[in-house]
Amino acid sequence: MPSTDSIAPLRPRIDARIALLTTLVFAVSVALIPLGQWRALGVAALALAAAGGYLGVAPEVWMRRWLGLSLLVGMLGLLVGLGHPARAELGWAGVAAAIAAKNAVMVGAVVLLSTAYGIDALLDALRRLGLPAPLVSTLAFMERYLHVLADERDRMLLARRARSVRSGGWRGWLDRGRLLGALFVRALERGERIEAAMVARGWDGQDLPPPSAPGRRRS
Amino acid sequence: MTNERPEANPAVRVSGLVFHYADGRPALRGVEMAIESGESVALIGPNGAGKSTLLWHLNGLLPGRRGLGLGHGHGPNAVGVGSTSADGPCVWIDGLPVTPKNYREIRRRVGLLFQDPDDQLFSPTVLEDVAFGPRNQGLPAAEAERMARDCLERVDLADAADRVPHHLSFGERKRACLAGVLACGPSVLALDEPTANLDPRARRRFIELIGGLSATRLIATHDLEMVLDLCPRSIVLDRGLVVADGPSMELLADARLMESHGLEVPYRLRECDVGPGRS
Amino acid sequence: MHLPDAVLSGPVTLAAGAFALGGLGYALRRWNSAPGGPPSPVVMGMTAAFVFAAQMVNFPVLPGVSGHLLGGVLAAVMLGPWGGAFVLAAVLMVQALLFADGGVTALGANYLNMGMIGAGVGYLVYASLRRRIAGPRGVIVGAMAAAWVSVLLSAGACALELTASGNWQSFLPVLGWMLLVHAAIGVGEALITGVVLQTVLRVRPDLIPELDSTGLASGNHAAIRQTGLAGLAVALSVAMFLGPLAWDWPDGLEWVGSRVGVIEETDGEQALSQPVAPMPDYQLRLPGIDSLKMATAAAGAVGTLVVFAAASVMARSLERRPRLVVAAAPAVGNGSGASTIEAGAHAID
Repeated sequence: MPSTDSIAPLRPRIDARIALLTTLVFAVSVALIPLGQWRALGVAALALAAAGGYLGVAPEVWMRRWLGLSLLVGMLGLLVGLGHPARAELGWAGVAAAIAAKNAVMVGAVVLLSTAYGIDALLDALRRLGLPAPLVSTLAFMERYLHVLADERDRMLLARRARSVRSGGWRGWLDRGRLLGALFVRALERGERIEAAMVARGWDGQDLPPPSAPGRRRS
Repeated sequence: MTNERPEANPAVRVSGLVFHYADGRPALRGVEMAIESGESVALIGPNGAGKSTLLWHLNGLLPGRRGLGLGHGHGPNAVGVGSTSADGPCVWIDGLPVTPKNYREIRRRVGLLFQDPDDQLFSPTVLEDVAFGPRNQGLPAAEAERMARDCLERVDLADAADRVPHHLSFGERKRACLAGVLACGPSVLALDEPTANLDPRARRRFIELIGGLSATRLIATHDLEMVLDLCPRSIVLDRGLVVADGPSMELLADARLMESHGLEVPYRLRECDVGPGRS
Repeated sequence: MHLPDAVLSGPVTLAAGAFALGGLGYALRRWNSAPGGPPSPVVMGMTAAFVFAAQMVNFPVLPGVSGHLLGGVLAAVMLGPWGGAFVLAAVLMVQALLFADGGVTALGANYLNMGMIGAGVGYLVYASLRRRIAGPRGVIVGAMAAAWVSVLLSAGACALELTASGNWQSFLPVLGWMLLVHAAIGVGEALITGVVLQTVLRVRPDLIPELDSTGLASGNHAAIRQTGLAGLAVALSVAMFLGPLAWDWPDGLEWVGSRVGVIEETDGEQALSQPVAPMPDYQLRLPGIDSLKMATAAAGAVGTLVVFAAASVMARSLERRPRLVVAAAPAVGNGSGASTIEAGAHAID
C-alpha cells in the first residue's frame, strides 16, 4: 500500500478546498487538450512544475507513482490508438505516447495534491465542498478505520504466513479468500460495536454532527 | 441480594434480567443486583460470563436495539433477543426504568466505556470525538467544545485535542475515550475492562484517573489487583448468574470461590491462609 | 479495471462523468426512500474500508497475472444496490485522489463501470437469482453469478468507452481482448466474492440482509421488471460471447484492412481527407484473429461453467455443515469475537 503516513503532509497555507478544485479543473483541462498539441501540454507541465516547486514536492514521488501506472497507460493507449483519428498524424505509437504524456501531467497534479495535503485534509475538504451526506459519512468512517483494517489485514497475513508451510496454488488462494472473509466479518462486527458506542453516547442513529473544528487537524 | 434497600432508589438496580444470544444460548439468566449511589463495584468472572452483556443493558443498548447498523431491521445478533420486555423493565437507573421511552435520559446518566478504544473513537479528531456526546445532548457547538476541552484536561490530554485518533498511543486513546464518556456528564460509569492491554505505567495512570472520579462505578475486569485498589465491593458473575456479591477483600481471598469461577486469588492476598481481615 | 487519466478522450470523459453524476443522484433519491431505512453510515464506512483494504490483497488469476477483489457485488449484497454504489464511489474517490489509482478525470467512467454496473446491475442479477434459490445457497450462487456477469459487463463498458475515445470501428477487436482478459478476472472476482460470503454465512449469517428490506425487492410488479432487467443483463453477457461467433467478426478488421490498402496507394494528404482516419504502418493480420474469436468464446463458456460449478460446491459445503461455527460467541463489546472468527475461518477445513 502506498502509504500516506510515511510522508508527512506539507500542509501548505492554501485552503485544501481551493487546491482540490484547482487540481480538478487542471486535470479536466489537460484531458481536453487534443492529442498532439504538445505546446499546450508543455505549458500545463510547466505550470505543474512551478506548483511542485512552490509546494516543495520532490519529483521522485511523482515518478515512482507514475512508473507504476505507465505500463497500463501504455497498453490502454495502444488500444485507444488502434483506430484513433490522430493516428494518421502521430502514428500508432505516437498516439499512445501522447496519451501517456497527458497522463503523466495529470497524475503529477494528483500526486502533488495528495502529497502536499494528505488524506485527512483532503477528505475534510471534500466534506466541506458539499458532497451528499451518505458519501460524506461513508468517507469519514472509511478514513478513520482504513488504517485499523489495513493493520488487521497485515497482522492476519503475517499470522497466516507464520503457520503455513507453503502458500502457493489452490490452497493458498482459498486461504487468502477466507482471510478476507474473516477480515470482513471483523470489520462488520467492529462496525456494530462502533455504532453501539455511538448510541451509548446519545446518538440517534441518523445524521452525524458536523465537524466542530474544521481544518485544524494535526497528526 | 444483600444490598437492596427499598426506601431509597439505588443508582443501579437490576432484577430478573434474562437475555439470550441470537443463536439461542443464554447470556444472562436472571441477574439480580443493586448498586448504591457513589459506590465503586467490580464485576468479575470468567470470559463469556456475560459481563459485557450486562454492562450493555445498563445503557439500554440491549435488548431490542434496532438491527445493528445494517439498517434492515435484522435481529441485532450480537444482540440477540431479550425476554425481558414481557414482564416490563429489569434495569433501573436512579429509579428510572431503562425503557425505549427513557433512552435519551438513561444514556445521559450512564456512561459506557468500551474495551477497545478504536470502537469508541470514531471521529477524525480527538476533540470532535469528545464533543460528540455533548453535541448529541443538543449543546451548541461552542459549548460542546468547551466541555470537551475541559474533559480532555481532566484526563491530561489537553494538547492532543486536534490530533488524529489513530496516531495516539493505546493509553492515550483509552484516556480520550474516558474523556468522551465523561463529557456526557454521567452519574453512573460502566467500564468494560478498563486496564486491558495497557502497559504498567499507563495502567497505573488510568487506575488513578478512575479512582479520582466521583460517579458511581461498575467495573467489569479481570484485573483483580485493580479491584483491590478501587472497589470495596465485588460481584462475581458466571454463566449469566450472580454467584457471589460482597466485600472484595473477602471474595477475592476465597480460593475455592475464585478457582471455581475461573479466577484466582490476587498475589497481595495470598501470603495469609485465610483472606478476610487483612487490609 | 481502474481506467487511468488521459486514456479516455475529452468528450467521453465528460459524458461518462454526466452519466455517473446522474447515477449518483438517482441512488441518492432511492436511498432515502428505502423501506427498511438506509444502511447505517458506520457499516457503509466499514465496508468501504474493507473493500479498500481487500483490494491490496492480490490473487493470482493466470500465470503471471494477478487480480484483486473489486467488491461491487459484495458491497451490494451487504448494503443493497444504493449503499453498494456509495461504497464504491467512496473507494474510487479515495483511490483516485490519494494514490492516482484510477484517474481523477476517469472517476466518472470508473464509477459507471464498477459502481453502477458492479453494484447496481450486479445486484439485479443477485436479487433475481436469490429470489429463486432459497437460503445460503441462493446468496452464494446469486452473488457469484452476479460477480461474474458484472465484471464482464464492466469490461464491455470499458471497451465501449475506450473505442469511443478512438474509433468505433475498433470496437469488436477491443471488446474481444477486454473480454478475454476479464473472463479470468471475472472468475477470480466470483470466487473471491463467494469465499468471503461463505465465511460470513458461516460465522454471522444474520449480517446478510433479507432482500425485502433493501429497497429493490418488494412488490410483484417491481419483481417482474427486475427479472426482466436481470434476464437482459444475462442475455447481454451471453450475447457478448456469442456475438463474435454470430456476427461476421473479421468484418470490422477487414474494413481497417481495406483502409490500410487504401493508404498504401495514396499519399498522406488524401489519407487525411478520409472521414475516419486510416492506420498506416499497421499490419492487421494479427496473429490468429480467428483464434482470438474462439478463445474469447471458449473463455466465456469455461468461465461460466467454472463459476457455477464452484458456486454449487461452495453452497453445498455450506449446507452440509451449517452449524459448525454459528455457535461462535457473538462479539458483545470485546475482542474475543475476533478470535472466534479466526478460529471459525480455520474450522472450515
